[in-house]
Amino acid sequence: MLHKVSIGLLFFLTCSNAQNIVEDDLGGFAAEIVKEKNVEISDDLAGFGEEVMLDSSTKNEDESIFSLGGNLAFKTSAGYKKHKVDGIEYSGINQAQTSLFIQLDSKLSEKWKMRISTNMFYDAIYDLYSHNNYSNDIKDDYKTQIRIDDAYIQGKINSRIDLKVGRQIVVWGKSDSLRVTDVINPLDNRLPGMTDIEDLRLSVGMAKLDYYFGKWNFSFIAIGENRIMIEAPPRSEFFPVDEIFPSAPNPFLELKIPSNSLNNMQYAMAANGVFSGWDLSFYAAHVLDQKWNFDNVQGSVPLSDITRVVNKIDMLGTAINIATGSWLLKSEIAYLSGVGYNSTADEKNRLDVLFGFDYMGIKDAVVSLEIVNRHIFNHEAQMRYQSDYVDKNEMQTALRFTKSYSNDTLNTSALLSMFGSSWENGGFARIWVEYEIMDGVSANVGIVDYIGGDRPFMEANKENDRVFADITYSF
Amino acid sequence: MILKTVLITALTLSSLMAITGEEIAQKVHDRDDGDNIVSNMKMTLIDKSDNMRVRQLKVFTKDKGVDTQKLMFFLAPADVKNTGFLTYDYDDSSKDDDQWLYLPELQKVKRIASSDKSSSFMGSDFTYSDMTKRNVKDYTYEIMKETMVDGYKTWQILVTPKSEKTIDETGYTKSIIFVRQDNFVIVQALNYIKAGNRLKYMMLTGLEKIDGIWTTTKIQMVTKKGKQTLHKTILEFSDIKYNQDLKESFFVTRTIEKGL
Repeated sequence: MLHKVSIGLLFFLTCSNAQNIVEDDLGGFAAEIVKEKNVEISDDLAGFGEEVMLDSSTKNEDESIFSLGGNLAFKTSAGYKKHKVDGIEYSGINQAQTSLFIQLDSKLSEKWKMRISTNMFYDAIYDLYSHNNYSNDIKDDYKTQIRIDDAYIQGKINSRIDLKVGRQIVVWGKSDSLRVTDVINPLDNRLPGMTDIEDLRLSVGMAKLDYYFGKWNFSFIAIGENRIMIEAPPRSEFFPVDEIFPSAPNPFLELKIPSNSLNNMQYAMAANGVFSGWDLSFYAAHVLDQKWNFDNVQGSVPLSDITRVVNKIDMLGTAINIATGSWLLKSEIAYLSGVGYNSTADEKNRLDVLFGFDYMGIKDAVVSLEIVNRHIFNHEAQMRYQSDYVDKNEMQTALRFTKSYSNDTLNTSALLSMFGSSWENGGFARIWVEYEIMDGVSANVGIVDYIGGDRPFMEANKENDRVFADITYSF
Repeated sequence: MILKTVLITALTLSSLMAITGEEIAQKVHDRDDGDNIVSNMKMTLIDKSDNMRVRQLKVFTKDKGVDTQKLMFFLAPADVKNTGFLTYDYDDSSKDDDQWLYLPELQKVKRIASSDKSSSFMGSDFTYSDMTKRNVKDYTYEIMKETMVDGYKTWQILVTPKSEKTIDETGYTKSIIFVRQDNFVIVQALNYIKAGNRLKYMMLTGLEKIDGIWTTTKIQMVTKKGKQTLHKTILEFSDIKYNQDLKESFFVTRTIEKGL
């Protein structure tokens, strides 16, 4: 009897306690009601801001044809290890860049719009350290830039057809860190490992027609501008030529820029399907390669007589991603023909295969893994050594983790990109933190560690590690 | 006539007295919340130091049977301008929603694996789960009591997920909701967050009848740990228009890629 009474009392106390806890929790509404008044006061004060915004809206309505935006940034980095190239020591502060990105959008009509964007920078470090006697190539590439990026008109011809003409970026594929089918735009790789792909793509002049049919979109592209990749100039901090190509001539081999003509056009087409839970794409392209190779290597040609060229290649590819639970699975396959190499007389065909996933099951975080293998058909033994340094199968792995904190005011990211099946060829690791100081103002700090390996390029840069920071105002 | 009125009143009261929690939840779910909706949304994020960040969005919503399609474009601030978000919210809880995100810097439409809806929606105190309708059958409902909220009679209902899957998906172990008895609108909710021993308080602070439809014009979500307020988000809706000419072909990735 006493036992039953005790159990009953315990049950009563438990229920009472649970009820009290709930009531305490519900008391939070009352607290918020009080605070809501404070918010109301803020809202009253914010009313002035709203009025200003309304005025701005009114102005925007009057001037709605044009919209000007962009960002102003200051970027700096410092090497924390000795890294000397061509007599110049790059440790210590090696960047003090002010950059300005401006984008002008114009709504020409209900269906047509225009965009022009420009990217400019000036790096004061090359004047502050002028005693280093930087080469003209280095100063041209790193000290100043005034560049037109996007410059296009786009519109809706009818309910099924869109047209976009001008300098633009077209992103193919499903991956985020590694490129397999994404062959339309060349990359600006002057600072390898320092920036993400989205900041590397170079706009290219083209006409793109999109036809929409049900769940499918068909793209037809004609590229008239033969723009090639930008990379670190020879004997700059990221391209220590003499360590990669011993006995390299000075100046290094000329890189021929392909001419623009109707007979030298690039073409591409794509079919993209968007379905419930999955997407599928098919691609075909006749475009410039993403790398250069030595021209007409026949017999024993003096190195000084060799020039570098960028081949036209053909690519057939496909890409798929599948959303299942918290996983986004992705795969890309590309068959490339006409790929040129430095140490072979003939062009090679290559099969690139990528598998990867994004895992979004961790709150406010994404884990991404991408692995690609590039298989070279009819690989020749000498390609493993100078001057190609490629195996029959070239594997690359990219592992990325991002997480947001404090309601997206703090975003952390880590990226590891390694080459080789056992990562034996080297790569880089980058960790960075972005903090939103206020609306439109953000700061970014991070560190890049270049990891040496069996590849001369990686080994030559393994001491080029640095910390970096920037602050950006967006308007 | 008097007898008829008395009879109707009696039947109404009888019906209300006999209504179950699940029936209330179903009525909340099925309430006419309009279709082909265009609106502006202002999202104010307030941290514990009362610093504010403001997001401006344009929102398009269309019902497709029991499913909902939604398009959002960020208009401000500058660093997120032109970001687009497209979601197909399927009523069937066994089917994952389809979600795509367009980021201007990527110039690419990226699919999002949407099983986990417990992540913050664009840095706000609302989760992706909060931004979509929940499936009534995934929860149990217990009417705790009837109480008054802002002068209106409400049911206070304990809502408990039936499965661990639902808890993982939404991030909530249970909720206490307050449903107005006159229009079946949830005017307050207390959400117990699975991780971090935190609570989220939702309060509807603006409710209007527009075109005959009860419409949320202002809603607040506060995240607390104990008595401490960690963060607060206020959503304000304006220029709300129903029955706009929104075709199904508008709610496609083409639209978020092209922008407004």
